This record gives sequence, C-alpha cells and structure tokens, in this order.
Amino acid sequence: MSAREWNPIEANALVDACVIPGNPLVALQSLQSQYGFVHPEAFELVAQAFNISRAEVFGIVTYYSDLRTELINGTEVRVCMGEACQAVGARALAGELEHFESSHAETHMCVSEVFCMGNCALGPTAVVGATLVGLANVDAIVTLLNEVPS
Amino acid sequence: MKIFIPADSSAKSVGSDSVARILGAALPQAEMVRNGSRGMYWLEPLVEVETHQGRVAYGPIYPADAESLAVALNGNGEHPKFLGVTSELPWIREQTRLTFARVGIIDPLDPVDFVAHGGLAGLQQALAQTSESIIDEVMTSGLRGRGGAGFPAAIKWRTVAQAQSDLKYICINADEGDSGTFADRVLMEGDPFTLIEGMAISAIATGATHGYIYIRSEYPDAIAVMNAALDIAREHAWIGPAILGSHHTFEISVRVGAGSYVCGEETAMLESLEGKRGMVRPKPPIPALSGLFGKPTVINNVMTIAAVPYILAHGGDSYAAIGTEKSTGTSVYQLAGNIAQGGIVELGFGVSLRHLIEHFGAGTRSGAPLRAVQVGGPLGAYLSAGQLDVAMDYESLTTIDAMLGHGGIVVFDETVNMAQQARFAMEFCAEESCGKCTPCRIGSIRGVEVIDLMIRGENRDDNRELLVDLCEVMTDGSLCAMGGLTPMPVLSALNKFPEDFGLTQERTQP
Repeated sequence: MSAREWNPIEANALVDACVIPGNPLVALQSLQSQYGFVHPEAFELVAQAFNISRAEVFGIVTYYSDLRTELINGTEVRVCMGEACQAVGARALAGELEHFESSHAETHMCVSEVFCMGNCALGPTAVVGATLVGLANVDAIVTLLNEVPS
Repeated sequence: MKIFIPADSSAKSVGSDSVARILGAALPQAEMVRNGSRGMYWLEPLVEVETHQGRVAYGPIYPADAESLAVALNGNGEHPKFLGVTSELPWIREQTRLTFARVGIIDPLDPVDFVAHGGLAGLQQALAQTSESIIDEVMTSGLRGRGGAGFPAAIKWRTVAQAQSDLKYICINADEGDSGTFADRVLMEGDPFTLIEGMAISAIATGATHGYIYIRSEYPDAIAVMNAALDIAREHAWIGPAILGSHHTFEISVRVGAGSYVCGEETAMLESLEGKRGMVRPKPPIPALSGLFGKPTVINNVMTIAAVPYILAHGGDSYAAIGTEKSTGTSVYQLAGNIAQGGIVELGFGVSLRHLIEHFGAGTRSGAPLRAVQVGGPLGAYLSAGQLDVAMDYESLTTIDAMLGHGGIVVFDETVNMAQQARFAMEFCAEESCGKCTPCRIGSIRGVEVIDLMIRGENRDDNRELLVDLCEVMTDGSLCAMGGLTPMPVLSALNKFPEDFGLTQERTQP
C-alpha cells in the first residue's frame, strides 16, 4: 500500500471538494484512497463538513466493508468466495493460501475473502493488490506477490 | 495489420495485458485495438486479426503463446490455436446479440467506431419523438427489468414522466453483486456508450436532468472506462446542456459502491447514493414518485437500459417479436462456475437451460457429471440435473419455484455438498443483511446454526422442520429480497438434495 501520511490540511481540502455535489460516503472513499484507511481524525472532519454527527459518520464507516479504520499490513490478497468460484475450488484455494500465509510470514500477505469480482467464468479468482487473477492457484498468486511492491 | 486484444478485466485476469505487450513489441507495425470481450471466456485471451476474410481469432493465447503467435502473424498466420473467422464461430453465430451487438467488436472508447456500428441511431430516433411516443415504443417492446423483478420498464418511465417535480433522476444499478453474473461489467467495459445512449433516451422520455451510474467498487476497470466514456460523450454533446443540439439537458455521474451487496437493492442503492448506510427503505412511496433525495427517480438495471437504444432504433415491434409472449426480447445469460465454455450468451427468452449448459457451455469444466445449477445469483434456487429442461424466462422459472434474477447460471459438478451450499446462503445473508428486518438479520444466523446441527447429525428431522419454519418467517417478514429470497437456495437445496443433509426420505414442503 502506497498510502500517504495523514495531513489534516490536505484532508480537509479533500473533504471540502466532496461537499458539492458529493456526500459523506464519497468523502470517506476519497480519504481512504489517499491515506489507505479512514483516519481517526477523519470522523470529525466529515461530520463537520456535512453537518451530521460523528455517530452517523461512524455508522457509515462500519456499514461498508470497503471502508477500514486500520492500515493493511502487507499486500492484500482477496480470494473470491462467490458460488461460481466455490464451484471450481475456491474453498480449497482459500485454505491453501491461509496455510501458506501462516507458514511464510516473510511474504507479508494479508488474506481476506471477498464475494464476487465478476470473473465468474474463469474462477477461482483472487485479487493480489490491485491485480485480478483468473484460474487462480497458490503458485500464480505467490509469483505475483513477489512482483507487487508491498 | 490490425490486431484486437481485449482489455476486459476477465481477459486481463488470464494475461491479456502481457500478450498485448509481447505482440506490440514483436509487431511494431501493427495497429493494436484493446477491445471488450466477445464473451467466450474459455478462449480468453482471444486475439483477433483483421484479414481479407474478416476478423480471425486465435485463443486462448496465454502469455507463453504470444511469442509463437507473433512469429505466425509475421508469416502465413498458421498457428495451433487458430480458430477461424470469429463471427462464424458457432458460439457467436447462434446468438441473437442485440444489447451486446458491439461488445468485443469495437474499440470501447472510440466514438467514431461506435457510430459506425449503429450507435446513436436510437438517441436520434428519440430526439425526433415526443416523450409519450418514446414510452409507447418501449411499452410495445415489452421490455422488462433485467435486475430480477421483471417489472415493465415503460410503466416505470411513464410514472416518472407524469410526476410533477422540478428535478427528476435516473439511477442505473450497476451494483452487479450476484455471483455468476458479469454482463453489466462486460458491457460497461466493452461498449460504455450504449449505456450512456440508453440513459439519454430515458432522460428525454421522462424529463430527468441528472443520472447516476452506481458501480460496485469490485469493478475498477468498468469505473475507469465509464468515466472516460462520459468525458468523450460530453465532448460530443451526447450528454450535457444540449443533447445533440436539442433543448434537452442531461448530465451523468458515476458513483462507486463500497462493498455492500444489499446496495444492489434499489432503495438501499438510493440511500447509498445519498451517502448514507445502505439500509432498505419501505415501499411505498415507490422510487418512481419519491426516489433519490425524495424526487421522482427511474431506477433501471444496466441490462434494461442498454436494451433501449436497439428498441428505439429498430422499433418496439421487432424487439417484441423475439422471446416468449410475456418475456419479450433477449436475455443476456451468463454461464459460470464449473462449466467448460463459460461466458456471455445473448438469446431470446425461453431457451432451455439444458441447451445453454450442454450446447453452449459444453458441460462441466471438470468433466464430472453435473449435479446442481444455481440460477439467478445467491438468492436463486438450486436446480437438480433433472430440471434442466426448464425454459429460461420469467414465467417458466417461477412455476418450478426458481427465478431468473440477473441471468446468472452457476454450474456445480458432483463434488458439491448441498448442505454446505445451503449453509453458505444463510451465512451470506447474515454477512450482508442491512439489519433493518429482524427475520433477515437474526434469522440468517439461526439458519446457519440449524444447518450446522443437521450437518452434525443432531435431531435432523426436527431441525428440518425448524429450518422450513424459519425460512417461512424470513420470506414473509423481510422488506426486501435479501431476507425474502435467501430461503430460495436453502429450501431448494433441502428439498432436492435431502441426502446431503443426512436426511433419508424426501418430504414435501408444507
């Protein structure tokens, strides 16, 4: 993740740019794409800009699974768990990856599950960093991990 | 020489970018087009070359095959992966591609290519007509919502057109969250102008001045292509303050989802577009009268709106002549999961599931016998191998307690454990429920627990009754399809595959 250091002035400008014609969700997405996560100070910033309570901002952040309150450590590897990928071995792939992750700490990968990337004819599917991998297996994912700068 | 290599995200997932790089370096004199996908995913990356016979295809060309293909293209073109003239491949030739007429053929972001292949004809027709006659044309076509509910599009449009308001919206649902569906993505990546054209026609018909396309964040390529296409459409005045020089004003923005499945439900999508938690709204009021920010709003699926340019250009009658009496036109079926030839099949409604899976799909990818098929996404029913002769239209599927949904077809071979699939359906509902309705929020968690008990062999018959009862409560007591339809995959798995739950005799559903 090439996330930047939190910068309150810059963050404020980012949120301001989303007020018209945007909304709190757009502002939070914009902050996360800049800093890699929703910074604790972002809650107050967004609440003020949109004239809503911090509790409401918290509600939005916790509702959407894309929004996170902590930076990801290492390269994110998302394994698709949609039915179409399950039909071609996604469960086994996820198991193998978890095993690999626990026995290869040096790869700095962070395995999580997603539901459907729209690659349903070429499953199993994984996403390594931002790269979509079709007909995925552990070898292909690890090869890609070594290419992606973490 | 002109070479076509798809930039479709699925094609990229099996190496089309690397193939393009290698061919580009080896054939510097060739013109390279990064087209959308033809939808034959088992052949991706599919490389096409323009010849005097037409476009010929080679596939699948993995990065390891690219060097040898470059050598072949520098010579006589002979290569073991040569497939023939693309448009004459049976898989393409036997389809009725109306909505997908240009996908995979044109350069997705070339406006000249788009118009040369029939683009804008529908919009020009619409501009020459009154709002009433556009809606009449859509009514004649019989076009129904492709998101799953199958509601007649023209009735929705008419309601919005007749509503009195200073502001009206068009919201396109591109939150294609169902596993096994990808048609929206393929269209947006391969022919984004068609969606824009359809939206502009809808705007003229209803008087809407602003449109949103709500695209899920899992589709970064589609988001990028749509945004680029909107810029180009604005430059050419296909949208903007004066559509094609007329007095109609229409602006479109892309909004990105944030990883919530239930935001594909229309009212939850509206909440999300307003920047809130994606909680389902009760209906009434219907969104056509009080939708986004309380204004009259057309909510259509990508596939619905993308069918509109054809209808305006060729007439509602010609569209209605395809399909069945009540399910008119074409449906974009998506073959997915354990299937040998997965991809996009656009055909008139009413084709049998067997024809799609056995003829187009060529059976399972593993080669093992087919055991179950889930039609219509994670909320759709599991069908058994004995039910493949069902006709794929809204009405026929309803008669066997199934639904078409967004047209996704997920094939499983004999290794599937249907109790696990039923458990997954409940688990998915628990994970994705917006939390508004108790049967959905709590019932799904109880559902997982009850199925776990059955899997472990505890009081199977009693727990079966409990599960059936729970499903009834969820069906009747949930506002939207999330809680209301989760019982569909669960009960279909339970009733058709009781042996996987450790149950011996089949019992009819009370």
